[in-house]
Amino acid sequence: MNSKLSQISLLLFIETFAFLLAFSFLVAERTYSILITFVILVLSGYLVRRIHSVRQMIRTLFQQHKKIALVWSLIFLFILPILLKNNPYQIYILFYAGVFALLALGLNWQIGGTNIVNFATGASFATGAYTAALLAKHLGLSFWILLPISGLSAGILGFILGLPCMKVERYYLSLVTLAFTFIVYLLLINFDWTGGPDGIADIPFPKIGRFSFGSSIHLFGFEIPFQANFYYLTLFLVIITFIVSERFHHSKIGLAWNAIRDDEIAAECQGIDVTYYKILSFATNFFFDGIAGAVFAFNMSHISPESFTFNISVTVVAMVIVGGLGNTGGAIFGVLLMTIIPEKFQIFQDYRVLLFGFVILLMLFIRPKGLFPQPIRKYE
Amino acid sequence: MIYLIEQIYIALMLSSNYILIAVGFTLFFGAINIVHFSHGDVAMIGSFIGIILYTLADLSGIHRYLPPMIVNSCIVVLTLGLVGILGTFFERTVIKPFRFSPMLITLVATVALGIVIREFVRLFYPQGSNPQLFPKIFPQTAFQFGKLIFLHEHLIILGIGILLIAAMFLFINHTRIGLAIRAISQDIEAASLMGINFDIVIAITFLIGSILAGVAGILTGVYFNVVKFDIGLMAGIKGFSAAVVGGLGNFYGAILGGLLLGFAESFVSAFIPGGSPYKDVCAFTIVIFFLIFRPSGIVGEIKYKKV
Amino acid sequence: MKTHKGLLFMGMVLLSILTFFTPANLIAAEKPLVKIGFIGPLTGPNAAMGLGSRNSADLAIREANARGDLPYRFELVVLDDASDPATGVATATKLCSDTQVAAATTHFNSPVGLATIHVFHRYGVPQLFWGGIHPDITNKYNYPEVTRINPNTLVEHSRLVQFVVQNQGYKDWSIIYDTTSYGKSCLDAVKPALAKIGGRVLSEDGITVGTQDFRGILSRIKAMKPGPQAIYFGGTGTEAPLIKIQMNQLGMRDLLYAGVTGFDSETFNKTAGEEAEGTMIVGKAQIDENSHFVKAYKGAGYKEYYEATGPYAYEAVNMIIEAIKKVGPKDKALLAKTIRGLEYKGILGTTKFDEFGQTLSGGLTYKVSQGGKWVIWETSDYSTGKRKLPGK
Repeated sequence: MNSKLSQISLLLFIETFAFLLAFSFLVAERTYSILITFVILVLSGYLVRRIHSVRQMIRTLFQQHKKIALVWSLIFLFILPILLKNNPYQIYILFYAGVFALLALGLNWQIGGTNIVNFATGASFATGAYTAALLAKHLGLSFWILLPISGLSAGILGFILGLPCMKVERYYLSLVTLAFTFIVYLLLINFDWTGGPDGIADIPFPKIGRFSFGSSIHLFGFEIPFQANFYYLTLFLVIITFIVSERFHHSKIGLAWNAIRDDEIAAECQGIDVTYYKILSFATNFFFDGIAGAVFAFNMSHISPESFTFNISVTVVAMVIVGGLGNTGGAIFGVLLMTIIPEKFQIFQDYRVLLFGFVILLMLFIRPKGLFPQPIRKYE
Repeated sequence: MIYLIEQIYIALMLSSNYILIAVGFTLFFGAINIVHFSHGDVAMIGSFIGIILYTLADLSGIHRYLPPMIVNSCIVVLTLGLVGILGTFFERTVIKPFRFSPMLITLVATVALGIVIREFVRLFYPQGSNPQLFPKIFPQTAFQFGKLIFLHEHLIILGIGILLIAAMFLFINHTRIGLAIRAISQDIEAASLMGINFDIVIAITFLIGSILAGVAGILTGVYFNVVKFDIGLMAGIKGFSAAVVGGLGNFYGAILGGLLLGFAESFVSAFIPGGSPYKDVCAFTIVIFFLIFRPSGIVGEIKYKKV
Repeated sequence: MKTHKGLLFMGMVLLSILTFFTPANLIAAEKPLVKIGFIGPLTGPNAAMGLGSRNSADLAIREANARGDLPYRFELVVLDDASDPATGVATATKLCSDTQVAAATTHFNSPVGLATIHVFHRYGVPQLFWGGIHPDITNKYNYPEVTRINPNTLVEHSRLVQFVVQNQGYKDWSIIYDTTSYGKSCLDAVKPALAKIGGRVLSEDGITVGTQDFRGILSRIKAMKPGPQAIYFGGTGTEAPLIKIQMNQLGMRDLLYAGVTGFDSETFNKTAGEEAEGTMIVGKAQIDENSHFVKAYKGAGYKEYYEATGPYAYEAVNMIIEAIKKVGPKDKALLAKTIRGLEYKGILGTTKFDEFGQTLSGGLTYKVSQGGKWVIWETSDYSTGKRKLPGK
């Protein structure tokens, strides 16, 4: 346990093991292999938490060799599509999880940071998606320009929504966001220029130069299905959003948000402009959602209002709560949990939604702060 | 003229549905400061229990021994009782454990509870995904004045609803338990210092609220003839909106809010050409408007945040 | 302690890697396995339709396997699209990535179908629609993989107006439609169909699915002078019976209530009961109670009713099997072409596809609600004059 080399190799070994385990769960097809890998996953997770010495060891390892751990996991994430080159479905699921990760990261700070339960994710997601789709269709703009534009338009919407809501108390604010989601959904269905219930079709795949995202890639001599293009795109976006979120958290803004969460009046007395920070949380959350919407639209090629209902809002809120409020890594974990597991448990088909509700209740009972609660700030 | 009267009647029936649910919301919020997101689903369960009891009565052949009026009255009373108990059960299991947790947790917990209730009904009630016909438990006669028709069954359930709300008013304002409820809504700690067992009082509050939701469920079944497992979600959201618009915590507010929302909705679909698809939008816009400009509602007291 | 932990870790690694490398077929099968996919809404508001169709598809597979004269063993891969396009695309991707899947029958909701046809086309996997009526599914892109066994709205509505306006003389209509893709398609189909045949539209009202109270709209229609002779509703089994019930409650019994196949389910009559009397629709193929399909379905003991779409799913699977019998499951492009060229005689009558893959017949019939059941017009009391349609 002493030499640096043995520490690093142990770290890499543990990471590889965890990765392989998760990977086997992801690609398991037959019922018994799904169940076995799932049980092993849960068991190992549980053991690691419980056995204090193991937990300490892993924690110190990761802290001392942060960079190497990160690089190694990045390598894994990068070669993942190669390993999955015969399973385009799994790559698609990871992409789908990635989109939700973007939604969850945005929401993570709004709920965990400022304690505003925002049910308007469906609306902001829709705004980003429809902006991208409409502009692509009518103006023929390229995806790369539309990405920030969608984010901006959603962000502006968040700003507009946030403005009048500043005097509204927390509870009522949730209701406002809820009503807002419904209104956006109903308007999307009824307006002709948004395509009505049929939505918007024929959204082209993004292009880099002449390479279209619809074609498969050739990497190191392997042919990887086209879903991997979107996977890499979302991976990239998630990493950036992750870094930005962490930067927010460790900055004055994150502190201000947490102060507002803990006691709004005290925060105001401290000189924190509560209104400004609340609106900021709305705008940033919506911005991330807008970007997610654009990516989603360009992958689906065809969007309709049915994808942007209140259910999305509830799902993302559940993910953040289960994963951990105010904890960026936790939020992503919650996303993975609630995207991949329902997919694998298609065998429970009819009971999926019921189980979903139960899991949320269960999480609230046993770990209301989420699986990975917000770590105590370290002031160094 | 006839048309106007008809529209007012329609608006009234819709409003009473909202009022019955809104009163529950206002009770719960007033008493223990929580928003019970799945209250609408409790109403839905009320409708289903009504159907189940009626089917059971039919199968058991009890009609041979007792006149239909007694049987049906028993069904109504039993339904309300069962819904009340069920509602209180939900409170004990899902809401009480989070009593001292942040409001956020209770909110999400009740949302999840709503999901569980809906799926339970959908999966375990025979043909649960389909709409279910509500039995004719009230006489099918009607008052007819020319082209105006008022069905007796609508008036009966409306009457029951009004009676129960009035009874609830009297209960809250003139009995000791009602006094306890009012005390808790003012200051729960002081109330417990005064020797009020707030645990039991809260349970009673939920009992009352759920019974009223049960009436709403039967009203839905009688007035719309058909119930489905997912009608609770929208009903709950609209009921909550009505309570907020009127003023959360204030019973008159719940009534006013329900009337406002019901009338606005009906009139938008009736008098504005091409307006019907937008009637929900209209309702929600009213809610947002009130929340932003007058969050205490129509008759709520303006609360100042105490430092 | 350390050795134990190390061993534990090693053991778990080995175990998990082992499951990863599990061979696909533990049992040596005598006949090669061919998978047929089924996607439909098994959860959500349209679950009733999805489940009924899934069971019917399952029935077809079971019967095929029991026949014994086919050179393949069939397996149904069932996936839930939950009426959501994104989920639909995921399920389509899953099916298409599985090389053992020869073809699939899909979807109740058109928006889901409109999203997944691109996936099936990209992978070249044949896709037969058992539900979903939007014309764009077949007509817009004309993908060779896509065929549709149920009729689309244009056909349905031209037949409806032909009968109700021309034949029976109800010229003035009020239209109510629901704001889903289906309802909008109905609206877009019924208006030109009416105009073409000389009917008049006096009012148009859209309602959101889940609405239970139509009295506001109906009351306004009642007060119109001159009023319509018929009320048309573009929507499905949940709202459709409610409108009729409320029409009667408001005293509008002299108005005809008409619709198309969206009404054609047992739910309509069960919900409206005797209030449904006299409703006119263009219906789906009438499946005889004593027919093989109904008997087999009941005998198989499925929990859910087969609903109006069940027979279409059943027929779809049988057609796929028929095509596989002809050209085998390997060459998907050939399979798609064969399916398109089929002239299949089944429970829906004869099914043939036009140049867009849209069925020409779909077994459409005229039906009227009589005594709490859908009765084929030609055999009903109304056609003989024993009962009269409203307003006559």
